[in-house]
Amino acid sequence: MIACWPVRNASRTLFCTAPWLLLATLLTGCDLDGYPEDLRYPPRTDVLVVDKPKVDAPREQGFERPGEFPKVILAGLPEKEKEQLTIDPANLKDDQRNVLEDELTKRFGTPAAPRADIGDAALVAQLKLDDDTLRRGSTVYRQQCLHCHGLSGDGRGATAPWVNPHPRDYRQGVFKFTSSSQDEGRRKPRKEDLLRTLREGIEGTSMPSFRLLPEDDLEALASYVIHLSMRGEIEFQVIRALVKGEESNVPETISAYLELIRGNWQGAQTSLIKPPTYPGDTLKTEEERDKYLRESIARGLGLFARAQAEGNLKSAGCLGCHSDFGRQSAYKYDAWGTIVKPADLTTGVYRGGRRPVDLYWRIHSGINGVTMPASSSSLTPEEVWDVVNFLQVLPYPKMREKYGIKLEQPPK
Amino acid sequence: MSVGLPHGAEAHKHPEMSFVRKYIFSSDHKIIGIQFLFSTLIFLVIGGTLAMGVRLQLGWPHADHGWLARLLNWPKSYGDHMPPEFYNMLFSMHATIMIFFVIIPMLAGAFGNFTIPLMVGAPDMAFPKLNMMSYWFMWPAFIIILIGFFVDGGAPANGWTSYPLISSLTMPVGAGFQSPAGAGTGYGQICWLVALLFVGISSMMGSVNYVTTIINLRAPGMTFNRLPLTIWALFITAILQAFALPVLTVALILQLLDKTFNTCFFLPPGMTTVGNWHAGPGGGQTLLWQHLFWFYSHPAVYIMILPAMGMVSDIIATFARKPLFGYKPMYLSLAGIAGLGFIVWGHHMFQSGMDPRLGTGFMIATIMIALPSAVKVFNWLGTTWGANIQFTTAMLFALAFVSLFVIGGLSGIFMAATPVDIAIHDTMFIVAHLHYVLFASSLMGIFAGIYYWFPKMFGRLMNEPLGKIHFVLTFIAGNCTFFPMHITGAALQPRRYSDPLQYKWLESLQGLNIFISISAFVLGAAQLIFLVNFFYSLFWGPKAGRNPWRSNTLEWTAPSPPPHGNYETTPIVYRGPYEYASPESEEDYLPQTENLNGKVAGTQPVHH
Amino acid sequence: MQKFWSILFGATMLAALLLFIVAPFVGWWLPKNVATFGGGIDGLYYLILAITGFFFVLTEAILVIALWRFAGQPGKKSVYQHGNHQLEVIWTVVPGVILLVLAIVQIKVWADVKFIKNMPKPDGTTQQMEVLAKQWEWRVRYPSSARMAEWASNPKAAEDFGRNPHLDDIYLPNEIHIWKGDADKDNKVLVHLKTGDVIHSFFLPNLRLKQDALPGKTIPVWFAVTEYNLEADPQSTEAEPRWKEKDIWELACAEFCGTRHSMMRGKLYVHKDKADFLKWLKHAEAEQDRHAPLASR
Repeated sequence: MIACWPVRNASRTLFCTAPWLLLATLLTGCDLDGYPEDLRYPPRTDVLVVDKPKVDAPREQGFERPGEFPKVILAGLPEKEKEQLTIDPANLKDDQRNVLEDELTKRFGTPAAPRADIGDAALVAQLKLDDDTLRRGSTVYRQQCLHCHGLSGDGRGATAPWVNPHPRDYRQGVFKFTSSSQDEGRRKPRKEDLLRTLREGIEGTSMPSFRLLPEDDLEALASYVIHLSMRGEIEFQVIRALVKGEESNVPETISAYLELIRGNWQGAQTSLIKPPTYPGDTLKTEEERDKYLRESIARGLGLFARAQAEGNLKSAGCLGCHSDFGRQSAYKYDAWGTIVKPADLTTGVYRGGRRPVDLYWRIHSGINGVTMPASSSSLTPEEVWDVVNFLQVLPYPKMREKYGIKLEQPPK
Repeated sequence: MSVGLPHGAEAHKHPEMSFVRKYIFSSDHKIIGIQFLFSTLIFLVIGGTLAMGVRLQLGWPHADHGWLARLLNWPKSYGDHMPPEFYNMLFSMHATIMIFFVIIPMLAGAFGNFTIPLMVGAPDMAFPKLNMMSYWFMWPAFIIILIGFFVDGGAPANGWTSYPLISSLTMPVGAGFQSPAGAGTGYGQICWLVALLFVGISSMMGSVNYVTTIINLRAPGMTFNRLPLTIWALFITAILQAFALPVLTVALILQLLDKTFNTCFFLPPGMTTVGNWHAGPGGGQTLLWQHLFWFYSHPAVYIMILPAMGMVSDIIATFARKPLFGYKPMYLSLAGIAGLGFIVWGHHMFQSGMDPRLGTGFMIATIMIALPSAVKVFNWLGTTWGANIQFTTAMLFALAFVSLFVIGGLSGIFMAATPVDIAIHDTMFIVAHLHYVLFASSLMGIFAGIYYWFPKMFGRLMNEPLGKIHFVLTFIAGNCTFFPMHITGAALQPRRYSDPLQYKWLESLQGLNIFISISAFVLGAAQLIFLVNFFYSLFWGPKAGRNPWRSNTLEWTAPSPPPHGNYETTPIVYRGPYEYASPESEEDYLPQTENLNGKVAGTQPVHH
Repeated sequence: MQKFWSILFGATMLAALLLFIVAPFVGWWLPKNVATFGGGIDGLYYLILAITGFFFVLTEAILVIALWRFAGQPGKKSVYQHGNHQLEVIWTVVPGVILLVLAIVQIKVWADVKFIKNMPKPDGTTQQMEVLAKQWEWRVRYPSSARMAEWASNPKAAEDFGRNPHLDDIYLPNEIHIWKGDADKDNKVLVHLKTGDVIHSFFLPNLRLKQDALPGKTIPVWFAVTEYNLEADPQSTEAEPRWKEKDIWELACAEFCGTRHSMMRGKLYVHKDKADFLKWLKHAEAEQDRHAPLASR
C-alpha cells in the first residue's frame, strides 16, 4: 500500500470538487421568494358551475371522500342535470380562447408581476390594487396560500383534496362572509371582511389565522385575493357568455363585465351594514339587561324553532335547514358545486366569526353562495338580535339551563 | 460444546445445479447473504437520494426548483416550490427505507447470513430453505414499498413513526382510497404497513436460523468463549429481533385494520369528526400505537448497532494486530445493551402525554444504557493502545465507528435526561444523535464490513486507494453534515419542518443549514466512489487469496469465495479468535484452527 | 504518512469541539429562557455538556494519540494483552456512578415540570387558558374578566374552566397572553391542552416547554415566567390599546401534523402585570362582544 497516496489523492479530489459545491448553490435559482418571471396564469380548463341545483344533495353522498376533490363537483346529480348547470370551457373556440388569454394577461399581468388594469383608478387606489402591493401580495400568497388556494385562486391547490371544506375558489367572485349591503346584483365583500378572515381564520375549517403576519402583508394579501377574484370572475363571465353564444367580441365583453364587476366591488366598499344599536346597550341597570336578555332569548328561540308563522308570531324558518339546531342538517349544494351542511349551531363554532355583530350580519344578509337566505326583508333588526342572543346561549349547557332551553339528545 | 455436524463437506455432493438454483433461488447462505447485500445497496442509493431532497429543502426553503418540479411532476399550483407534502414524503421514506430496507437487512441479512456459518465453522445455516425464504420474503416488501411511490396519493408522508391519528384514520370505503388528516395517508400508508409486515416476517425467519446455527452448529472446539464478537453480536441481535418483532407485527396489523375495516384501536371516543369527516365511534387510544411501535423500534435501534459493534471489534483486532481488549466484558456489554434495550422504549414518549412518573423509570434505565456502551468504547481504545495499526480502509471505517459512536452515545445522554428532553425532543438535536449512531456508526461499520469481507465474498480485492478516498470524504463530509445539527438542535430548531424560516428565532441558523446541506451533497456524491469501487472490483479487482488480511477467524481458512459447504474438512478450533501478537507464533497472528504441534488445544496459559 | 490518519481524526474532532465553543458567541445557541423552571433545565443541559465534553475530549484524545503512537511498522509486534481487570472495574464503576448520580439529580426538575401533583391548582390565583391545537393553528380560550373576578372571591368556581366553556370566554387564534405576576402569588399559568384532530405538540422554546396534545385527552401544562415582553406603545389609546414587543417569543408545533406542520406559528405575549393584562382582556372582550362594526373600519 502506498502510504502517501491517500493524501495526494484526497487533497486533489477535494480541490476538484470544491468548485462544484459552490456551483451547486446556484442550481437553486437566485429569486428566492416571488414567482418565476415566466409563469403565466393557466387558462381555465375546469367546468364552470353557473347555477345551483334546486335539490338537496343526497344524504348518502355526505361529503366526498378525501382525495376525490375536485372530481366530485355536483356529485350525486344525474349527468343530464349536471350538463345544464355547468359550462365547459373546452367549448370555447380556439381564437376566442387565445384572445381571452391575451386580454387577461394584458389587464391582470402574471403571477410574478400582477396588475389590475380595470379602468378605474379610484377603485384601484381604494382597494390598494397598485402594482407594488399586488406584487408583495403575490409573494406572500405564494408562501402561505398557494398550496391550498391554487395559482389562480381556483381552490385546487395540492392540499385542497385533503381538507374539507375545500379552500375557496375565488374565481366565481362569491365570498361567503360579508358585512356589506347585499341588495342587488352580485354581492361582494368589503376588503375589511377579507382581512377579518385572514386575521381570525375560519374556525372549524383548515383556514388558519394569519394574524401573526405583519399588517402590511395582510393588506397586500387581501389586495391580491381581490385581484385574483376579479380576474377569475371576468374569465368566468366571459367564458360563459361566449360559450352560450350571448356575446362574440371578446374585448368588448370583457369591458362590459369589468364595468359590472368593479361597480359591484366599489358598491360593497361603501355599503357597510351598521346594525342599529343593540337594545341591550341602551339599558342602564343590570336587572333591566337581564330581563331583556331573558325575553330576547325566548323570542329568539321562538323565531328559530317555529316552523311557520302562528298568528302574529313570526317564523324565521331556521329549523328547516338547521334541523335539530344543526345537528342533523341536510346536505346541500353550494354555488361552487361542492356539498355543504348548514352549520351545527350547538357547537359554538362559527365560521364567519363569533362576535354578535358577525352573527347579525350572517342572519341579516344571508351567506353568499349557499342557501342561507337573507332575512333583511322578513325580520326586524330587533328580531335579528333576538335570534343572535339565542344562538349565543345555545352551545352552553349551563346557559341553556339558566334560560330554559331544552335540547333533546339527537337520534343516533 | 458441539460436535457432530450433520455431514462433512466431503459427503455433501449435489448434482450440478442450474444457474437459477445456484444463484437465484439458492439455499446457500453465502449467496443469500450476497443477495441481501445487493438488494440493500440499491435501497441505500434510493434512501440516500431522498435525503438529498430533504437537505435541498432545508437549505433553501423558499427556492425555485424549475427543472426538478417538471421532472417530479409537482402540482402546478405550487409554482416551483417544493410542496410541503412532498417534503413530508421525503423524510418519511428516507427514514423508512434506511431503517427497514438498508441497515437492518444489511446487518442481519447480508452480514448475518454470510458470516455466521463461516465463522462458527458450519457448512451452512441450520435451516437453509428457511434461509432462502427469509430472503425471498423481502421481495414483496421491496416491491410494495416501491409501489408506494406510484399509488394514488403518493408514498406515505407521516414520518417513519406513522403515529395515529394522522396516519391511521379509517379510509372511507368507496371510490378514492384515501384518508383524512393528510396527503400520503392512503394507499401509500397501506403499502408501508404491508411492506413492513413482510420485513418483519423475513427477519423473524432469519432470527430462528441464526440462533439455531450458533447454538447447534459450531465446529468442534468452538466454545461460546471462542466465538468472534461478530457472532456474539449477531446472536444477541437475533434474540432481540425474535422478541421484539411480534409486537411490531401486532401494531402494524392493528393500524391496517383501523385503516381498512373501521376498527378504532387508535381512535379515542369523542373524535367523531376530524376535519369534517366522520371518524368513527372510537374507543381506542392513540398512545397505544406509540407503546407498541416503540417497544419494537427501540430494540430495533440496537438491532441496527449491535452487529456493527461486533464486526468492528473483529476488524479492529485484526488490523491492530492485537488481541481484543476485554473479550468477556465486550460480550457481556452486548448482552447488557440488549437486555436494557427492552425496558427503555418509553424514552421516545417522554413528552407524549404518557404518565410522567413512568417517564422517570424509563429515564433511569435509559441513562444506564450509556454504561455498557461506554465500556465497549473503552475496550476498543484499549485494543488500539500498544497495537501495531494497519490502516486499511476497513480499519479506517472501524476506527471512525469508534470515534463517532462516542459522539452519538454522548449526545444520547442529553435526551435521556427527561428535563433536557422537554426542550430538545423533536428538534434537530435528536436528528443529530440518530444520524451519528445510525450513519456515522452503523453505516460506517457496514462499510468496514464490506471492505473487510469483500475478498472472502467475491474472491477479489477492492481498490485500497479509492477506498481511502471514499473514507476521507465520507468521514469529513459526514461530520460536516451531522455535527452542526447538534448546534441547530441546541438552538431548538424543530425537526420535520419543511419551512423553518417561518420563525424569527430560527432565522439566524440558516447559514448553518446551508452548510449542512452542501456537506450532505458532498457526502452523497462521495458514495458514488464506493459504488464504482465495489462494482468494478467485482469483475476486475485483483484476485484475493484465502487470507489477505492475515486474520485469525475461521472464514479466512476457507477458499475465497468458499465453495458450497464452506470447508473442505470440518475445522477444529483450538483457541479464541484474537490471538494476535501471540508469543506462541512467529507471525503476528495465530488462526483459530492452527494446530500448534505438540500443544494441546486450550491448555496454554493466556495473558490477561 | 501513516500518521496522517491520526491528524485527520484529530483535526475533525477538534473542529467539532471548536464549533461548540464558538457557537454561543455567534448566536447559535439555546434561545433566551424566561421560564422559572427553565434555569433548572438549562443547568442540567450545561452539566451534561460538561460531563460529555470531558469524556469526548478524553476518549478522542486517547484515540488520536493511539493512532499516532501505534501507527503500524513492519516487523513490529503489538503488546500481547487480552485486557486488564482493574481497568475494566474502574471504567465500569466510575461512569456508572456518574450516570447514576446524573439520573438522580434530575428527577426533581422533571417532577416539578410534569407531575400533575406539582401543577398549580385551578383556583383564583392561577392564570388559566385552554389551548386547542388544530390543523394548523392554535385556538386559545381565555376566561373573561368577569369570570376572573368571580374566581377571586370564589376559588372553587375556577375548577371547571377546563371542562366547561362559557359564553363569555374569549377565543383567540395563535396568541398566548399571560401576565408576569408575582412569584408564588399569581404568576403560575395552567394550560388545558387539547387537540381537535391529530397529535400536535405545544412547544415554547423560550420556556423550554413542550407537551404533546393527544386526541381524546385534556393534558394540563403549567409554567411561570420571569420577564415580560410587552411594553406600552405610545400610540396606544383608550379605545384601541396597543403594545410593543420588546422581545419575540414564539410558539411552534413539535409533533408532525401534516402539510402545514411547520407553519403553526403562535406568539407568547407576557404583560407586565395583571392590570396591563386586564386592559388587553377587556379590549378583547369588547371586540368579541361587539354588536356594532368598529368605527375605523
